[in-house]
Amino acid sequence: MANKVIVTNLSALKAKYGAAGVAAIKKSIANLIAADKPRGMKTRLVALDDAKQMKTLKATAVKKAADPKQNKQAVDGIYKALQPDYLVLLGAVDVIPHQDLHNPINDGDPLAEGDVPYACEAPYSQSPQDFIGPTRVVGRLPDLTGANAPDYLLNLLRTAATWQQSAPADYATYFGLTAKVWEESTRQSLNFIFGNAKGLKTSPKLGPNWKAAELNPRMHFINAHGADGDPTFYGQAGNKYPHCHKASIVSGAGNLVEGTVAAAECCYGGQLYNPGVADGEMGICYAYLAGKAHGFLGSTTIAYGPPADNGQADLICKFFLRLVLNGASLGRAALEARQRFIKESDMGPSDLKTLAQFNLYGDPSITPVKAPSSKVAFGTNVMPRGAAKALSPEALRAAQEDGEIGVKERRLRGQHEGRLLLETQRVAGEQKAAVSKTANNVFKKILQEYDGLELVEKSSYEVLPPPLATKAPAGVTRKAKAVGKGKAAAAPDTSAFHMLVCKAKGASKPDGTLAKGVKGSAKRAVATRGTAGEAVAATPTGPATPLVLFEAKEVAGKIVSVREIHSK
Amino acid sequence: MMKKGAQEQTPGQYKEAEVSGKVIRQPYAVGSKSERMAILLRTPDEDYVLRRRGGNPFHDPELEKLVGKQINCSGVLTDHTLIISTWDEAESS
Repeated sequence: MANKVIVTNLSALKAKYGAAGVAAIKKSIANLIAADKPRGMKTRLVALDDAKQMKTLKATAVKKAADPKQNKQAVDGIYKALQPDYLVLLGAVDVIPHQDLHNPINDGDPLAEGDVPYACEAPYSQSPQDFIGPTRVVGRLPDLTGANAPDYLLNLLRTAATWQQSAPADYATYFGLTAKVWEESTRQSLNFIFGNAKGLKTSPKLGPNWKAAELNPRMHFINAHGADGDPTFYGQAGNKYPHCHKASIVSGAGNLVEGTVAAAECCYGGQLYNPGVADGEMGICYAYLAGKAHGFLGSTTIAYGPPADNGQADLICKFFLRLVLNGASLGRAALEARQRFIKESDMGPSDLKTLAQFNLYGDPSITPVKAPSSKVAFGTNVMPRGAAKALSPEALRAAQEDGEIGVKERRLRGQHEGRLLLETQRVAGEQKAAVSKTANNVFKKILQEYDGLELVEKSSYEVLPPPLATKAPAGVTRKAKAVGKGKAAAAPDTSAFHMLVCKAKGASKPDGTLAKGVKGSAKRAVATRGTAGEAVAATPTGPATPLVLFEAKEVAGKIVSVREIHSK
Repeated sequence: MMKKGAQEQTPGQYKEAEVSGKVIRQPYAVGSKSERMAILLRTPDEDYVLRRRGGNPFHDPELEKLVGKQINCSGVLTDHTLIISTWDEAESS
């Protein structure tokens, strides 16, 4: 049985590339399947639109390529039949669409599109709350959206067929880039991943014309602004938004080293937009993959994170890169990063959007870093050091992920972890009409205290119980009551989330430090657009002014914490 | 108003569009899920988040100059944004 399944829609590919193009793609897929064999993988291609093939798997074929529900049902059917260790979505959003999840935040994005539902056992739904228990290892190898020649995809398939694992030392250095306003947050992320932040580059003033030596490190971590259909990332200091990273520079000869792995927190950093909207220039995520990067983690829509510590996009990106560095396959790194993110977050509205919008691009079975190990790979098992010297064909694969048994064990753990999250993780639900009086009072104080912000909207969200919550056994309850006389055992549960959405109105310092407010009182300033020192009076407001969110957590009628979060 | 739509909107596709309207700067779609501060093109039918092709999406002095003016423009319409490549100022109505 196959342990790696590549799914695609041949009708959609044929509509883009014609019969000859599809034949070339099939040939490249065959090369990938052949290359996977000595790695210990049995790889199989399944066409989601092939009714005959799907019927043998007792799955429903996709009739309309653009239909998210049909694609989700088809992938679920394939998973049920084959239980693969790795699933590759082959094609961009006009071949296999992102899932059309509702956006839980009022920020202008109509949807929070993404691939996380493909990584979950839950059936099709547009509610991101239904997908907080990912269990599957999934990645997407995209072709170019709207393209009529398959060259880009053929190049990616070649990379997937010929990848080589490297020593940890080859991934020890990094290209770390941050907008100045998020410098402290990015330092924390880099310290978590690499144990230092010495290589951090800050915009302004640095970028975007990076030299090859600066981009050559194989690990890239980017915390900057991005925009819809835009091949550029932007730094920020006050109301200055200089270019800091460009697809054209990423694509420059010799600028990327094969095997690069990148995580970008930027808004739209993982948007697979049609290059036609940008004078034919592909997005930065596409440019990385074209430059033979092994993987790219990025967001389809407006992403979020706090200015001075880590949350939302920071977390999912840093967990991902750390796992890759520790020797996980790209797909397992994405799965475990999602799971850890869910476990360590409140799963408020901004967390839900983060989970929904970040996707892995790249073959999920690629394991870029050969992690140090005292084990010696042998056959499909793992033996103690010195037990065997000869390596079978499967041993190469084994050396990469401890062999087939090791992979199966990890998948089982991943499934247990995902199901546990569904049984235990509470999550923000639908938006409610009214904000509680308690939250209103807190928001009123914030607006008084923070200089340079004005209200856009306030909203509240109910908190849902875990999707698969089960009642505690009666005996446990009785015991808890007996011991604590009703006071013991249960941890306080979040009862609601409240969201204050603000925009800049100017008049504060650019770096988030305390600024003198009106009437001589000290007010807190937020590092947002329109708050630059030299442009204080100008109240500049651009086409896509970033938002500042305050997410309040309510427990038993009291607001216990408020987090400041910036759109990226 | 929208004069021409090139193709049906499917994932990843976009529409080529010729649009006339007034450039404004204000929160977008107050009270709805789309509310944000933006430079918009207000037409009789709809408001579009406006961006100039090649312009800085966060601060574009060229677009700032158009605020308050009536324009005829052409460009592409994504799910989120009207990205204009050419425009002419029109008589204010």
